[in-house]
Amino acid sequence: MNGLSSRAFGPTVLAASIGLAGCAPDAPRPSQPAVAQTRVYVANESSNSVTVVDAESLEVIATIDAKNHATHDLALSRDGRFLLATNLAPGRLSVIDTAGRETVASVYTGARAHVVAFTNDERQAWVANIAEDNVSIVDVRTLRIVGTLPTGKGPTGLAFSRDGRYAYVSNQGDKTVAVVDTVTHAVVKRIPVGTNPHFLTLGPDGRVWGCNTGSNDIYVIDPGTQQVVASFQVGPAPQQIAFGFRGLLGPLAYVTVAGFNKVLVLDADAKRLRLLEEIDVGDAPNGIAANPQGTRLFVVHERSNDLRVIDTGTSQVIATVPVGRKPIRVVVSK
Amino acid sequence: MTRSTRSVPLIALALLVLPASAAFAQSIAAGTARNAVGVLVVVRTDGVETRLRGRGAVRVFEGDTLKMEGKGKALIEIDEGTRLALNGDSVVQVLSRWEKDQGVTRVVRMQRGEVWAKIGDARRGLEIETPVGVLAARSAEVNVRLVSDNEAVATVVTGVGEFSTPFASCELRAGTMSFGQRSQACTPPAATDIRTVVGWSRPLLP
Repeated sequence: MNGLSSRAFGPTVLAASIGLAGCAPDAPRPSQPAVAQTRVYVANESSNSVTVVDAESLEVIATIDAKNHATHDLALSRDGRFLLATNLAPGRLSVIDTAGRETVASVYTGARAHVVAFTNDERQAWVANIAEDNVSIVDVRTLRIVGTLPTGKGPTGLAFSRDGRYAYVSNQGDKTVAVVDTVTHAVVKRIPVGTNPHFLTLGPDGRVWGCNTGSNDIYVIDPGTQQVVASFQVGPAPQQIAFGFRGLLGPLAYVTVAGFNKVLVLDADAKRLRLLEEIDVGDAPNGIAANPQGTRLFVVHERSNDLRVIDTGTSQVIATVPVGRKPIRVVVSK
Repeated sequence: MTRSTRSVPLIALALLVLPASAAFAQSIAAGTARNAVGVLVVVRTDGVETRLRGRGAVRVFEGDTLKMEGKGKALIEIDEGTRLALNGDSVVQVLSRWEKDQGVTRVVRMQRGEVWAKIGDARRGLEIETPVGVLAARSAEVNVRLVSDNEAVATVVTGVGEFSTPFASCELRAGTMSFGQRSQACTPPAATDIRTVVGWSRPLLP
């Protein structure tokens, strides 16, 4: 019953990390600056698996069995050691040990478990269950469900504010985004958005960016006012948003538009949302994520079953990596 | 060897292996409903319903929802050596969590009502989930009452339990109880009169 206590977040590992970082008198000095290995993880819904790609070599390192069905969304811990994957069909969350490249736990959260996000302190993972109109709160240490929050009809997107005070949950059935106070667990506001609101993410400006997959636009919510401060028509079936830079330009918002087979590039300043560029990609682009530097974008395509890598400096696709069937979501180590 | 006789050992092997594996098919046995005062409705994951009135033996599978029709009481023997009783208009779902290092932990998710459980196997725990907190125990006798969607009362009769809300965990020893309320930490353990808490479950026991 100890979940990940001694594996991911417990004091043993933390202490070991601190020990490694300490300065022993005779420790050799590294000849290179420390560079974390960047990994790209792709959830393959129809293969029930997660593909692991090295972000530098762009080689597939492993394919991890989620030990579940219809693997959909992913959340990666900040230290990159644990990956959480929702599985729509059984309503379960797979817990993946990235070092061992295996699924080490399977937790039932609720019917049609759709999206998952770590709280900012990573003590909990919140999972939106579409068919139960609620969010399950998973204690990451014990993997127990310590609470359930009703949020609205058909929750499909989930993001936390920069300060962690609010959670934002998009509800397909209500056409709203519910603002949940993470201290009181009360829904403090329901913000009307468009048709079929889906993906939500925290932008570099501290605002919450979302896609209305049914009304073909994106919108931006200001946590200061809890209002939509901008929206922009992008085309049929926008899916997800990532942020990056093009040389001096940026931050820029990159939006996958499934109906156009394009990634649209927008100025990420919510006060002057405007289209800068369109990048042709593969068939039905869905998930998109940027590397920590914002210089590479990783886009998965649910019909052509591949990951395409865009160099933001040139806006060109520089590589195509075959992954599993119906890849939906991609995350990159931070 | 005919095809059918060849398959018998394979099926037997599968039955042995499945409960401990990470594969969660819809028909993994979880226990047996033994007694109902009133009517216990067992709702399968495909919506099919089976009813138990009085004593009997209705198999319960992973994912099943158990609900009392009207008000009553029911006793279910969970396969891991745990007895579970439902009170009043209870509705619960029988679930599990699998962990590579820990194996399968039985989970009972409460939607409504009151449950009592006696966990017999020290190696396997039971977790009783409510919307505001979860009670985890091994080798213990416990009772959980869901007052509303926003409040639950966890009681440990014998042994030790851990009652966790999103904000805190409280260790409960024998004869103590704790409240879990939405947006609040569990209340510190307080002594309670066990007989009045669990008296309702006694007539069900064999």
